[in-house]
Amino acid sequence: MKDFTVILKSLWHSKTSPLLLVLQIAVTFTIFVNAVYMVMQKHEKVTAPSGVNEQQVFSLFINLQETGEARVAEFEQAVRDIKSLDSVDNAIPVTSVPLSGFGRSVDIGYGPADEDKLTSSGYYGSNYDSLDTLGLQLVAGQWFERSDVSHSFFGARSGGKVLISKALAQTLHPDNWREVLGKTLYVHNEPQQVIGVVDDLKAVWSFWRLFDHAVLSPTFEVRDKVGIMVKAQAGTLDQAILDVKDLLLMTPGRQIDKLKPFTQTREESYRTDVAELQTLQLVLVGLLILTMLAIFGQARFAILKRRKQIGTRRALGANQFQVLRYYMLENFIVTLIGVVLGMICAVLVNTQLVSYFGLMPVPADYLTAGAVIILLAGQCAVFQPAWQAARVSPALATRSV
Amino acid sequence: MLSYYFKLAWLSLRKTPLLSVLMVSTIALGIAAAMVTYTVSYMMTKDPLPEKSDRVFTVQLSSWGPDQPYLMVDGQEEIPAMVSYRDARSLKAAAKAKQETAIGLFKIMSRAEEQNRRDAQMRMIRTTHNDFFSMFQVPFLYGNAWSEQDDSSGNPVVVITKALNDELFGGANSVGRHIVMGESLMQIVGVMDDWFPIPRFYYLSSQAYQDPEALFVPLEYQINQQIFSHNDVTWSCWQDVEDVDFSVFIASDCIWLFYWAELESAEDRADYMDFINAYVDEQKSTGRFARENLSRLFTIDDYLRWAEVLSNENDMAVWLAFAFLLACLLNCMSLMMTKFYGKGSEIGLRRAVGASRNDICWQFLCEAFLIGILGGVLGLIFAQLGLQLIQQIFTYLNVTVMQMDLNIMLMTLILSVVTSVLFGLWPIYRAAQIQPSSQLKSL
Repeated sequence: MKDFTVILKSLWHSKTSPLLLVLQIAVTFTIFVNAVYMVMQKHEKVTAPSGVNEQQVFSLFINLQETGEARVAEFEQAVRDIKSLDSVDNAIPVTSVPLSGFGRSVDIGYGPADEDKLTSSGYYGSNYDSLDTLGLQLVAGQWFERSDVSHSFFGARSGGKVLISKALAQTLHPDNWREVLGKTLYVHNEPQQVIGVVDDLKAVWSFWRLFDHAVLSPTFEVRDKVGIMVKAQAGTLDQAILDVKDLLLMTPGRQIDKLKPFTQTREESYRTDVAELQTLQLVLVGLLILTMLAIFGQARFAILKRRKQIGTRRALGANQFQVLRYYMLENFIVTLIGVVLGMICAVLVNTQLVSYFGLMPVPADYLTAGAVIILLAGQCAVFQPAWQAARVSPALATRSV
Repeated sequence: MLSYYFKLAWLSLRKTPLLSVLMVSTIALGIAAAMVTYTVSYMMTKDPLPEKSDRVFTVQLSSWGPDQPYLMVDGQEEIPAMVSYRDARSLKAAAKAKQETAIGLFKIMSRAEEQNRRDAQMRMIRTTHNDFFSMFQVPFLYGNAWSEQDDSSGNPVVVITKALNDELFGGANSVGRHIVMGESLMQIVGVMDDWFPIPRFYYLSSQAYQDPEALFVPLEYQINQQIFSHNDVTWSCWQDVEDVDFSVFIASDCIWLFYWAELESAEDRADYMDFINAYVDEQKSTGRFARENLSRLFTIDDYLRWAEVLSNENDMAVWLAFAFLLACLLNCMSLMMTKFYGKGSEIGLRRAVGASRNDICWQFLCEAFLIGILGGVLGLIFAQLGLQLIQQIFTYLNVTVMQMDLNIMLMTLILSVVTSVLFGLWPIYRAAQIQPSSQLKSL
């Protein structure tokens, strides 16, 4: 610990360059910690499960050419035809495809008026088979009856039944989400009885604050353009896509749009997030390299300047290990001051980010982990110059005296 | 003398390889980061039609209904960017501009005639007039734009992009062959060469960085065929047009087309505006255009700024990258200090044998210059790698956005040299202050 006071004194003596380094480390730490946290959050977001059986499902939109009740029959026949294909396991009509970016949000509340609105949610209308086709997990209550299924031009009818996602149930009843079962919920100002809760069902916009909120109604919508989601037999996804296309195109005037596997829908949905994630990672690597270069150069400078001083120390009996330890410790102290300053800045910057961009506050773990990483990086960078210093021969001091 | 200094500088760099590599790579890293972001920002915001930017205009009309404004922005009434078919047809018929075109869009299944039904793909189809191609300087690989006759009769003709030609016809000259669009047979009259105007200014701002649609057909063809993809294109009406007939929709004030005009010269702008105002007055007299006349002409730049395609958001990343460069340069500066300090004895010797401070300065300026050049070259290489990486990341942006042109490459080198010399000045000054006597003792 004798070194410690000596180092502090010598740092105090030549303030400029250590100060520059301290500032650089502080800035790096600030950016580093905030960026790492954003990376982690983004990473979590883009790898989160969608709740849908992603490997087996694909979706498409088709046009319906009939009008009135004949149109309902045309739609039901199309879904039946698709289900009867060998490569297809199940198929459902949908009002929109999860994560696709095109769909609907509805107001949610326990009353019909605007002021009863509690939150918002994504909305899907489908039929009885959606549990199996999408591979949803029913965690409470029960599934629809076949007789619950109906059709409409837009939205669910008054007095129907709905299932909701667990996240929506938790928003409505934070203490015990199961309380939502059996309640009458106003979905888009229409009363609906909640009969069950599914574990994971997302809305269509991955960037939406309420992305986890979803309502599923057994009401499929029959318009001139309609959506279908298909579950292929295990391992036959590509074949099923071709089969479905062949089948549908046997009808003259049939148009098929947005035919894609769910994995692609998911990929497109997170495209910007993935791009941002990768850019952030690049920035982090660049920053870390720069800081290590700076520490490395700084240490070399300091040691070059003090070659004679080191030689003297060696001549006076300091062994190589002591010299090495001296410079490693010096770097540790400088980096630590930088990190402490950086922590203050990081927290300040983060509170700004939280209030301006609605980001989450950085947890303390990240600050500690960031500090350890920067300190380690500093020690790695300083090791080679310190080792060089240790090898300075004692004769160097005697020569020039 | 300079060549001698450069030789000295080169020797000096060789003598401390590690420090030299550090200095050069720090500068290279900063330069690369700065130039990658600058390239993307510059390419994304450059003028897509430089020869004509002052005489090509999009026409916006105050055609909205009497009940309420189209949009209020900060308490000001805002008019729509699009026009109705009715107005587009009138403007086109008046033919007051040198060239002019309406631009619309629809969606339909399409395939090459030779292809199987099931190979048909849903594609967006651009509808426009033949002036589009000459006005926006679209290069042709095979064939040409369609004729005036095709325009006015709405003939089933189509111009396709090189990418689609490659996909459907393996890159062969497909002029005269056919594309099936819906149930109709369209004759190919032209194949476009590579053409990626960035930003893609001529239609919706939200699509400014997407590639052009693969198929172009005459607007009148869409009208004749009564196709309107109301689920897939942007349109807006102030009247209620739920479930109306196509002919009623087309005759209504519903907006769904962009209208662009090219004038003989920028001076004709006022005359053309007079014509637009006269047109609005005329329409008012027939009971249309009930609102105050806020109609206007936007140049490409005006439009992109108004639509916030060109915003300051891109600058933010550039500023950050240049801050990173600054950090790199400061770092390099302290390395140079190290370097020149280490050469104290050499400087002392040179001074003692008669070199002036000036000579010392020149010698180290040459060294800083050399570091700058090396850093610039390495930075260029890093930047190319960086741009490659960014291309992998932003696959949905056109790659031409992420390519350096010759000017930017030159700028990279110049920036590198200028900044390293600039940041070398202080270390050089310090080096030149070294007294001849101070270091001699220790030799």
